[in-house]
Amino acid sequence: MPTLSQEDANLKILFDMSVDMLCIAGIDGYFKKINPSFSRTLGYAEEEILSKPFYDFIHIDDIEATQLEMGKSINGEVINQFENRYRCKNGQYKSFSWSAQADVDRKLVYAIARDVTEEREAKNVLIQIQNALNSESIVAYTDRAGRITEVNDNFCQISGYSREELIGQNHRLVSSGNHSEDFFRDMWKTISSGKTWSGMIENRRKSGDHYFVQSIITPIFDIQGKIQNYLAVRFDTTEHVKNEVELDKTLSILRETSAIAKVGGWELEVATGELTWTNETFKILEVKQRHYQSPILPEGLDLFVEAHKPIIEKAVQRAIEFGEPYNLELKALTAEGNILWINTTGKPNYENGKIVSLSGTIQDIDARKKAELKYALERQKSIQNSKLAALGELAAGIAHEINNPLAIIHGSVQLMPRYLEDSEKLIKKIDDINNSSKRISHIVKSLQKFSRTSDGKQFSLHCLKDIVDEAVTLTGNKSKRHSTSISVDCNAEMIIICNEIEIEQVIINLINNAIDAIKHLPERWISIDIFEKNTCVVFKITDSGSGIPEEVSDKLFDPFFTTKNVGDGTGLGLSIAKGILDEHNATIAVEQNSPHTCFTIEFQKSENVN
Amino acid sequence: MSTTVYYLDDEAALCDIFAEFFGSDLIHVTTFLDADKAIEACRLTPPDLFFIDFRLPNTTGDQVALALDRSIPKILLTGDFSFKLECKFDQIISKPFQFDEIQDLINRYS
Repeated sequence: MPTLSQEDANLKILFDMSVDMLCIAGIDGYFKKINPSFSRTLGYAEEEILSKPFYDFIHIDDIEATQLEMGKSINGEVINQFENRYRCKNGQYKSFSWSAQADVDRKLVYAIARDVTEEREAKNVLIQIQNALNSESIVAYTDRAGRITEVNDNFCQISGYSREELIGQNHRLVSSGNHSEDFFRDMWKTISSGKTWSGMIENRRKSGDHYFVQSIITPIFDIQGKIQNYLAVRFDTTEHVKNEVELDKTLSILRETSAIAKVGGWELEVATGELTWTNETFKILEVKQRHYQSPILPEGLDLFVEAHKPIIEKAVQRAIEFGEPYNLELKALTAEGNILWINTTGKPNYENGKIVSLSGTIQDIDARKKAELKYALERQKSIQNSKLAALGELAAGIAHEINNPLAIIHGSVQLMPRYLEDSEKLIKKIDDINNSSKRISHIVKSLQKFSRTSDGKQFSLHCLKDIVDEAVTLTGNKSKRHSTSISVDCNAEMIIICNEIEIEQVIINLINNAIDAIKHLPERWISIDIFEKNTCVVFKITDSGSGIPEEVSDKLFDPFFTTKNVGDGTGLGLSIAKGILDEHNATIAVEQNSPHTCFTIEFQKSENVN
Repeated sequence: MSTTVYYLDDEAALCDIFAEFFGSDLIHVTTFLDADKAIEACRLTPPDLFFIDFRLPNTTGDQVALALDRSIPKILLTGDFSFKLECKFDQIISKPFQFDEIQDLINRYS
């Protein structure tokens, strides 16, 4: 074996140490010599590689190309950057980039391969990204002056321009004109300073329609770090924008509707205690809207009056713990310090069986609630009030009622000395005095009723006729003033269990209504009948009016309904009458088949009549 | 020469007392329970003095007085405290009245 010269030894070291794979291959398809890098890269022993045709190691798809390149090389062509894939011992493939030159005479190919697997993979990813972008988005390259240099099919399709029409043009070609100059100035400022800009741009198609694109524009740098051009990637969001506009419209209708109904919505995130309120909720509770900070639960609970705080706290707590929904009418104390009645509802929302949030509504019911409370209060006061009204009515005529009999007594007494000898005339005067004093005592007895306070629900047996007579007496002045005759027809003692004062009140109310209703009619009479019907005692009051229109009779017993002028009636009389009668198990109705206005009250007949 | 006095009141007992007390040969008293009849009588034979009650069925003394000739002296007799008048009365006397007071008036108009 000849000793290697120093130069040869150096070349051998270079051959052995090289990271690149060096080889000599024969046209028979076998490697003649390989350096150790082959073994290191592929994982086979050197002998294994040399023992098989190298095509055995090449990816089946690359064999044909490799054979072609080999052929070229044998014919004397220099092969450069030819790539194929080799199978490693572990089954994976590696990409090799070859340069080769053949010794045509000796039929040997001298070749160098570099493992470019990683580069190849990186390039693949890049290509895939590019492909994906090209197929899914609108891509355009622009030079530094803003002229379009390259566009993909999507750009042509969405804009309606052909590639030829676009290239060389400024982007202004597709500008909608709906963006300010500042908008584009800012964009150029961003990208020309080397940063990426993104935003929504409204563009115009060749047809004139507008379309919306979410755009990302990024500068592309050359190897010297200078901007060489710009890449714009855009996505068509026209549908989305349209939907958003629709959604905005829907939301604004919803907002308006809830403003009219004074209904707000709210949601409580259980984990954080964070509250989400709709505009109307902010408005009802008079809380200023803050964009930077949501209200939290304690703040929400604080917007109730002290007395109602425990109620809402408990309701919210039970809703969170046990999933109990609630629906409460409470007094809110607004951020501005106003107190108003609200109706608030809440219900739990579950996620995987766990309560994650509560949501509900809040409605301003102040006006309704106040009307209700006013009604209850009026109802409470009504008996006292209408007694006072009757007293006022009585007071107007009371002087007359007492002074007339008093004048008779007075006159009789002054005449009596003349008749000391005439017993017949004397007795007549004594009778006059007697009758007059009875009249006065009757008036005073009627007044006694007003000194009694209605202590509520004392029910006892009463003769309905007596109550009616009292009511007729008490309304006598009014009926006389309006020249209205009142007749009472009752042929038996009708006993009912009732609160005498309340029932008298109801009857006074009906008589007063009747007088008011007919006072402008030429014919004025009121007729009251009391009779038995089956198990009922019926009180029937008819006046000379011509009945009540059906559409009015439906509302007749509603609180605050009145046909009288403002100030003349509270609209409470009949509703209170109905309330009182309900408590007596009695019914009140308008007789629709009567030619005259007619109300009937049916009382249950008392069983233990003595 | 006798004096004619009319009295209108729906209170029959008062009418009787009035006629009994003031009626004489010289003072001719006629009482009326009904306003229309009184008005009719005034038209036919105007009295020297007319006493009228205020509160009457279907009407008031005031309305009756308006229907009368203005030359008839009219006195309102009433038990009411407050009332609105359209007619000008020569005097208003409240019930219960003193006979002396009435007598003075009758004498004055005789």
